[in-house]
Amino acid sequence: MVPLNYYLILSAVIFAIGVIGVLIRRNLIVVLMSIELMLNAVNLTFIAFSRYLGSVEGQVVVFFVMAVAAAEAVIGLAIVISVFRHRQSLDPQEMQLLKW
Amino acid sequence: MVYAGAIMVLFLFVIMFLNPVDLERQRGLWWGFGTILSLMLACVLIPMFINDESPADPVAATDIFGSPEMLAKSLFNDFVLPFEIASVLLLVAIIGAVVLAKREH
Repeated sequence: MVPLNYYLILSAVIFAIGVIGVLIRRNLIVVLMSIELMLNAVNLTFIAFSRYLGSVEGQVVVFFVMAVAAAEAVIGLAIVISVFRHRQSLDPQEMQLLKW
Repeated sequence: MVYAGAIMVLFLFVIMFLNPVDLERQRGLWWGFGTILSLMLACVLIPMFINDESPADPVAATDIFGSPEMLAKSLFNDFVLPFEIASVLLLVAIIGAVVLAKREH
C-alpha cells in the first residue's frame, strides 16, 4: 500500500501548481482552472486521510467540496462569458472598474 | 469521473465559445511577485517533504469501508444540513449562470 506521505506530497505539489497558476497567468479561464486544481488537491488530501484514519467523514466532505467546485466553475465561467462580451478581453488586469 | 468530465466539457465549451486569441502578455512585475510567493510556499513545503518520520500504520480496511452504504449513512445522518445547503447552492448556481450568460437585448 502506498504510504500516506506520498499522497500528501503529490497533493502539495498539485496545490502549489494551482497557486502559481493563479498568481502568474493572465487569462481568466486558466485562473479558474488553477482554482479547480487547488480544490482537487485538497480533495486528494481528504481522501488520503479518510483512508488512513478509517473514517468516512473525509469522503463525505469531498462530496460537498465537489458541489461547491461545480457551482464555482459554473458561476465563474458565466461571469467570464459576460465580461468577454463586454470588453473582448480575458485579462484580469484590465478589470479595474471597481478600483478606487 | 462524472464530475471531472462535466467540468472539463464546461471549460472546453467556454474556450471554444470565446475563442480568445491575443492573450498571455506576461508582465515582469507579476513574474517577480509570483516567484517570491512561490519561494515562500516552497519554504513552507520543503521541510514537510524531507521530514521522513514514518506515520503510524493505517487502520486496516474493512469490507464495508468506503462502500455506498457507509457513505450514505454518514451523509444522511450526520451531514443532512450541509447536504440540503449544497442542494440550494447548486440551484442558485444554475439560476445565476442562466441569468449571467443570457444575452441581453
